[in-house]
Amino acid sequence: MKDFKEVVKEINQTLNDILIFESLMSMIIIFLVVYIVLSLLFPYPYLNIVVSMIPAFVYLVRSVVADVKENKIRDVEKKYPSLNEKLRTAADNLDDSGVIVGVLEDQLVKELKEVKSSSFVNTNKIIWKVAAAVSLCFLMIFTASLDMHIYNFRELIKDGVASFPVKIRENGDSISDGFSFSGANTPSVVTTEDEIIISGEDDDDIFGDQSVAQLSDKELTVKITPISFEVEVREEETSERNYDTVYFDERDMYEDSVASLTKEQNEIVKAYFKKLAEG
Amino acid sequence: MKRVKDIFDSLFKEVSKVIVGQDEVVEQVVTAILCDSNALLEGYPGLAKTLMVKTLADTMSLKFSRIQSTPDLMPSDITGTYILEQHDGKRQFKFQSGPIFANIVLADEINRATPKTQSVLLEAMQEKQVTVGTETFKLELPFFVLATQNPIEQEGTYPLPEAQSDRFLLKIKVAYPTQAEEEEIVNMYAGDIKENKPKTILNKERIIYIQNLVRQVPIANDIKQKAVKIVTSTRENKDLIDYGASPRASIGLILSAKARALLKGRAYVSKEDLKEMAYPVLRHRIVLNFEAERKGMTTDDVIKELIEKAKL
Repeated sequence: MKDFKEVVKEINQTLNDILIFESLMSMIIIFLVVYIVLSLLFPYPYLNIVVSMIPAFVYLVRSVVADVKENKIRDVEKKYPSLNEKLRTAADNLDDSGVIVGVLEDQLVKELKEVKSSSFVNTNKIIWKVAAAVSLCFLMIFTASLDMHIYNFRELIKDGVASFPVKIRENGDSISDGFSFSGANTPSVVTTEDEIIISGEDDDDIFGDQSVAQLSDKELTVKITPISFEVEVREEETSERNYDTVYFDERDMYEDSVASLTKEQNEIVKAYFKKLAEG
Repeated sequence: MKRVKDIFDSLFKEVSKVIVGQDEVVEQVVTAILCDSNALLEGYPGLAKTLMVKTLADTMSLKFSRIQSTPDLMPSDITGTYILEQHDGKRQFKFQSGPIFANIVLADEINRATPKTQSVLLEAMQEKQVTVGTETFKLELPFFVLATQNPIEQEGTYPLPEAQSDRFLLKIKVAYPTQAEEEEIVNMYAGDIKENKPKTILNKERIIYIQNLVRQVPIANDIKQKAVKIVTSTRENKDLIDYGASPRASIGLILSAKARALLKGRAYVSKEDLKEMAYPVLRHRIVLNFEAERKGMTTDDVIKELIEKAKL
């Protein structure tokens, strides 16, 4: 006959498994719900995954701790009233040895054979949870494939930050030397709390209303993320160089240099070249 | 467990041949015996208290003696005394044992005995021994004192002080029988005299063995806590109670609940056992205050309230 201690251990193990499984199901549902809501609101998939995991894991940890601490013997007694008081008495006196305790344990080992672990599985609850998880998965796929957003925070932020007095360069014609943005290539600005990301999107006025923008003493970090920075070289007007104005006139240079020489210097120069000619 | 239950079922059956009704009282007396403790029986005269105890002694093949307490009862009348005896021309003192030297001692109307005489009984109850002169005599085990008390005619009595009544595990109230029971009593004792001698079911060795079993009955922690909570609440509830029960009551409550569980053939203590045993264990250990008396509450009413508060 099985030892009563083993039976109690088995009961705890089985009920823990069932409870942890239920907690895992709930955790998945929480994760999916939070993720779907976030993905409809914010366009950052990786960040959304991480943020969705937080409440899910917090729930899982709390739930598992509570489940492990829970008195499983009471659960069995609730399901099987014939074991009421008897089972907990034997469980509380596991380390006691005596005729009566032995009789009680033997009696319980026999009676516990009738206890089925399936009776502790709340089938309706599990089915409901699985159905909810599957439905949420489908919902997630649809929202992702249709690129659904309840509220476009990106636009909201863009509009809000566009009015910041970020003077990247006066006239907004050039962000980086040699490249100019205009029209379709005008950078738009996306901001997090202390950060502004400028990306090239359609926007006529990236600076907005200057009267609205007030940065106060707050430090502003500006990041430029050029989304479209193709430079249409062909369309760029090639400026013709006027070499006359750019380079020196060699004749003038010669005349100027000869005029500035003294007679002695002239003699030295002549002697030098003469010497060179003679070999 | 079934065997133990069968034994006591047969015992109660044998007692019921002589005593009509009073099943609860008989059960509680046996509970006190199984706890190796003593009980105080309170009831009006003519309720077969003495007969009940004698019948129990017969079914358990125990030596029974009865002491009728009166104000002039001396300690030596209970314990026995040294008498001068002559053997072969030599005189020597010999101890002549008193009625206390029995297994079941019925101290009838104990409150009529003087405190000095009561104290002899108390030593016997507590220590299972008596001291005569300079010599101490061990009493034969099992030993029980079942004292009776009359709730009326209190004049000229010496009510047991709280410290002494605390030594009785249970205070059992013997109530009047129902009309049907009384009719049966009349038929049994007012008709032809029949020999209703009960059979012997238990013996000393078995009783001692069962007494040891009682202490082995396991109790769940939460039930134990409830038992202690009920007892401690008698000390905390100052609205109705002047003096509450001592820790001895907690021990008594759990022990008597264990004995009751065994009598019922259970290998564990149930809340029902506590509920049932709380009344006889606590009723002589709490002193109600004026407020409770003004409300017309009895000790049993207060105990009921405490049980309900403890959510037992």
